[in-house]
Amino acid sequence: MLLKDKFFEVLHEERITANDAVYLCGIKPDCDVYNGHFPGKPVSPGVCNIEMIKECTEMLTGKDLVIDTIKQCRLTAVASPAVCPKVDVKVSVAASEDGQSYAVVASIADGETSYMELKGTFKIK
Amino acid sequence: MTKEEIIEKVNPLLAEEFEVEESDITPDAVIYDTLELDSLSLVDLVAVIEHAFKVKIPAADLPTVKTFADLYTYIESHQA
Amino acid sequence: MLYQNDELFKLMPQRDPIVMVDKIIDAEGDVAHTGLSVKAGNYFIEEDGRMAEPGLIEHIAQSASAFKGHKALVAGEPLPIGYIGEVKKFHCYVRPAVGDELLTTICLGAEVNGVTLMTGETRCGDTLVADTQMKIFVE
Repeated sequence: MLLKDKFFEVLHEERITANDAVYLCGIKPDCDVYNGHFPGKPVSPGVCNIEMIKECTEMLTGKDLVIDTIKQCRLTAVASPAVCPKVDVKVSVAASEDGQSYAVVASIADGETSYMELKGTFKIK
Repeated sequence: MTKEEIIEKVNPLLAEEFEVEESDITPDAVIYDTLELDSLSLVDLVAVIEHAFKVKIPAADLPTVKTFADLYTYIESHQA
Repeated sequence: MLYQNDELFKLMPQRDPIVMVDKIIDAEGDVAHTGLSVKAGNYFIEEDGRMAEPGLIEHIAQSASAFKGHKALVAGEPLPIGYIGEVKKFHCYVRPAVGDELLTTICLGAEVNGVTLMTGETRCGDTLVADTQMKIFVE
């Protein structure tokens, strides 16, 4: 995984069913991405949050995944290690009939604030 | 294009873009509520109208377009 | 070629290690062509030597951000700082590999209250790599 234990770490995993889980993730302030995003003003890149959702989905399904499509992904608030040091990454998957991909609905939030809502299809690599 | 033609063309486009039932789009319904518009999706509405009718709704005019009837009238009076 | 490598830094705030566009080839009206040479040290390269899909989204977003920066520079306006507001209808067809030359077409569309709708399409040679709609929110 590209960003696990670099951009984020999993502090707690709550499996609700085989297809639903919530990952409490710590956003690591010392990640090198903040050297460039942006110099002197650390903001978590939205695409790193998308990758974090993908990697949590890989943990839930136990498969290596590729994002095939994103139907819609809304970035509803600016995230940073200072603003949201811990977030809940909520993932629900539904396997396709041929078993080669998953319909994914995911969100990133902490308490009151929602940072991201994503709907898409992830394929097994 | 007559107003009837505008309605016939725009309603299915809006229903598809915003994933609502076409039957929910009535002349007196408030656009923002029916389509659940917010600061991000407002631009989708503007883009749909611009693409379908070559009518650009400037931000300054948006407050005058409240209901679907307002929208049809706006398109009718601004079309080329 | 309008801008290459470090020249882009006057158009956008991103710096190493997350610079995901390294050229603007041309720009006219609302359309620009941009590019990226995929190198081994790229932030989004996975263990198999291919780019993770969010890297493509970032490439398209930074291409649009640099294009808007170019337009602001030409108009003598301050540089906008853009954030991704929404990614819609993104499709990744192929994950690019180290050594690939990505070429991207950016089309800026409607703009309302600081939110710009745009489309991006990335190719590598004749192969379609990814396409998407995006909303860029400018602060």
